[in-house]
Amino acid sequence: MPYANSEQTGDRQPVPVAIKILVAGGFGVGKTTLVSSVSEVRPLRTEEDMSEPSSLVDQLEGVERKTTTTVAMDFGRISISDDLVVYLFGTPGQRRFWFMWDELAYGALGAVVMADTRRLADCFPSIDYFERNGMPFVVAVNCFDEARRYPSETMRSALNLTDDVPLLLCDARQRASSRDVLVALVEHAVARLSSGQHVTPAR
Amino acid sequence: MVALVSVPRNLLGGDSAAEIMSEFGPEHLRLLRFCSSRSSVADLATDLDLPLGVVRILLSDLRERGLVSIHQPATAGLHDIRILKEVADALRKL
Repeated sequence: MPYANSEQTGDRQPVPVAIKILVAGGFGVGKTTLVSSVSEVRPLRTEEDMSEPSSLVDQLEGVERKTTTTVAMDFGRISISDDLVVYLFGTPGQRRFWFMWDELAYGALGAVVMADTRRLADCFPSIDYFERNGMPFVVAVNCFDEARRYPSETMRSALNLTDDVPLLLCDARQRASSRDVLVALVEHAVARLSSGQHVTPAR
Repeated sequence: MVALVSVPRNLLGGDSAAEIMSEFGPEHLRLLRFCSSRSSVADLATDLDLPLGVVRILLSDLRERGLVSIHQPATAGLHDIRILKEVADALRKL
């Protein structure tokens, strides 16, 4: 079992391995559904500095000195063993929450970028972000019942994906389907490591 | 965010609740109770239904007093093919 040295804090308890996976994509694309179909999902609140655009959205009348806003993220935990845990973070999809991504991305294994064929452009910013950071990611197209199906090649070219980025179709409501997406991401990270590309913590 | 919090073993039977209360507030005590089983900062924030920033401040108070220790999880796991394969195998069984 994997142990690492603990920080210099006096006691010698082994430190477990925590694997952090981000689930990103546009608003309403199914991030919460995916996280909750594979794990027990709980809202994680965080006080964040308010960005310019959000101050236009959040009504500040009467609280002009308020400079932070509460953001809720989806947070899921999958315990694999006593010393191996997978954490899932559903990153807020709206443009005004991008400023949180750097902290979320730090030390993450990789990301699942969720896409909806009816609003494909919504996932462009996520793809750009992970490409720029050199973080492994897979694209999971959530197959909504009412959405039109397209061949993978058409979607790959619409998303301008390089050949090495896996693209999967999924149904985020189905546990098995969401699980396959996570497995694909971990396998993608393994493949990158095997080919000598390091999974570098972003920042 | 996924840093792990634990209570050093030698302290579990040491400081009494009253002693800690006199120094800290009830939030600290509540947090300390949740720390007894090893959990991450994000786990504690959701367990206690407090924003992440608040939990971080409470934890830093407790750490200063030596009541909790905070470990960064082993990020080496991200570069270890054996561990990642173990994760993939375990996820397949979900």
